[in-house]
Amino acid sequence: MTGNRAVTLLILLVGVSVIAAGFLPRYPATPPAAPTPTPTQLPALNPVSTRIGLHTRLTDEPDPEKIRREFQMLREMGASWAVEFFPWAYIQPTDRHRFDWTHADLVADAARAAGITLIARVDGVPAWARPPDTTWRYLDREHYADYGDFIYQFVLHFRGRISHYIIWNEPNTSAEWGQRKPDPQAYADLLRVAYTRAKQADPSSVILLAGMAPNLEGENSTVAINDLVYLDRLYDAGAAPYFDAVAVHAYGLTAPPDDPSAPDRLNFARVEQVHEVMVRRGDGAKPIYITEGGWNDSPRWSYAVRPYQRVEYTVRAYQKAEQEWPWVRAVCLWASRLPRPAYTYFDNYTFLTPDFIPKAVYLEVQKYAFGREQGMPAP
Amino acid sequence: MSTQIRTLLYDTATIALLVVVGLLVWAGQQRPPDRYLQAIQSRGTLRVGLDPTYPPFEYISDGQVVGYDAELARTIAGDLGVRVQFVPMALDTLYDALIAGKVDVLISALPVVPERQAEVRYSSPYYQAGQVLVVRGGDAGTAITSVRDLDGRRVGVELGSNADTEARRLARTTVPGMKVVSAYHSPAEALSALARGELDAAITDNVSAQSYLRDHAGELIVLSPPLTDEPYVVVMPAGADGLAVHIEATLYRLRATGEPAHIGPSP
Repeated sequence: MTGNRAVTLLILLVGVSVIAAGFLPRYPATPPAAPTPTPTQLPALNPVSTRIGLHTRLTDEPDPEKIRREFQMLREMGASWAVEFFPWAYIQPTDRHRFDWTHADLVADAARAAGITLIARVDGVPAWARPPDTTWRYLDREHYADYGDFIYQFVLHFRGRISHYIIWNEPNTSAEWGQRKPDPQAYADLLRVAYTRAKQADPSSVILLAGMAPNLEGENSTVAINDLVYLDRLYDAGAAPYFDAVAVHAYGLTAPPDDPSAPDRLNFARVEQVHEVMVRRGDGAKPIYITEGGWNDSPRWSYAVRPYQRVEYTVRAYQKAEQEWPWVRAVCLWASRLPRPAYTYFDNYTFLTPDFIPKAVYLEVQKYAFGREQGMPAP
Repeated sequence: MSTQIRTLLYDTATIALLVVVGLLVWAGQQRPPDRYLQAIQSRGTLRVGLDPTYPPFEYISDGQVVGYDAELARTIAGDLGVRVQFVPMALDTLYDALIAGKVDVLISALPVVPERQAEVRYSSPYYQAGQVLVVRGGDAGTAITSVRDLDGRRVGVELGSNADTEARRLARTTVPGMKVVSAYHSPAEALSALARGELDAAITDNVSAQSYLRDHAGELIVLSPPLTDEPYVVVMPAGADGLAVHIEATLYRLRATGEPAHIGPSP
């Protein structure tokens, strides 16, 4: 082969490859094989309840050892569940063809190794899928298919490692709906796309309706739609076939967990109101997962309680869900730990300090779960 | 060219070079005027952002913003020769208001937030709010002068508080023999139990400890240094160099004179 002929063939080869690439489907025809999951080694722990869980906040935790340690400590507290946020923008930051699973794999595998069932909240729109000067909560209808494709790839990638997925977060608020007026019909349409694509990737996946922000806003509010009203409108919009379960945010604010629920009250027991809407709409057989909630004990926040109240209310909340709400599958309160101090009242929601010192609330939940504190190594 | 002329030229060039370098150094040290300070002075008002829901630092009484921070703000404004204007707002909107130029400073029992240091300027601390170790005053039997003396001692804390977490940290890392009594529903309950002799020491935040000490003079003492470093600072816009000089001068004067009483060296 002469040198000229070799160059010509090389150019042809590159040219054909480029042309062929243009006709490739948006996702590989042959799904990439999911990494072999690490065999689960369940700690020899048997908590009194399998509903106990926490929301982790590992999105900005880069240290693999800390990720593993956090899930291990959740397990040692008695947790069987955790919720974690997987931002679409982190995994597919540059365009619709490239994925970076590194951090998401770390989180999923660490949860599995600790014997924690992970619920993945998936949203956070990358810049390439939205107009300039919009927040990463903004997704227009033109890009619903991109979100659907991402959900397909996400569920496919984690098939066998993650089973539960939450589609979006608090779409009943303007802040979480891209600074637009919340739109139940638009979210119902988005849910249909995501549900359909998730089931294509893994028919056994459990798709959760997004947790709504509990609120009592009036009809004319531009900030939010009342969570119970929004749920009713989702049913009106034909959303029922497109979720297997409902995520609920159950913050107690200043009321104890046994404060009775009512449509015009914001408290932990508001989850009963959500369940009543589901029953009324013929959907009561679906389970509820509490994916955020709990109490705050910051002296700087008007919706906080005293630290001892937070401890008592939290233990009672897990107990109440276990004893009184058979339709609640998991109670994942906010939040297990922050990677670094926030220096705001956010710090007063956590169960562990950034350097893994267990707070009293962690230890009291552990006592409830096992009847005693578990021995843990000193940090 | 004679040697003398060459030497003269060399010396002249060296002197000229030194003068130029000196001028450049001087020019580099000259800062542009602080537009934030100029705006305050031309307006005649220091606009202070705060969340008045945190006694004893800032709260509303008879329709007026009062408290330690309000007092500090008035003093700073007085030293600047301007009036003070309080702009009450929610805690989580304070930084946005400062960055948007809606207020000149924040004085609201705020800690340093490392992630914010690129966008704001912090003063030196004016109050140490960290966790402190409290023992009985004049109790010769205790001989507790630091955490090292807590081995085998009963240390009371408010259940679930930051003091509780700090006590558990000490028990897990530094003083394994310390007995944490995490049973109280407020810092004052723990301090009262200490005063009654039911505990050997207590850990609370400094605000609660100082408040108790004011109402029960002579019963208890707060040991130095604090167990955790949680200083409160004045927050200014980044680039408010001139304003910062004035505020530091006021804080220095207040520390030196001990007025108001809460501004002073760490406990």
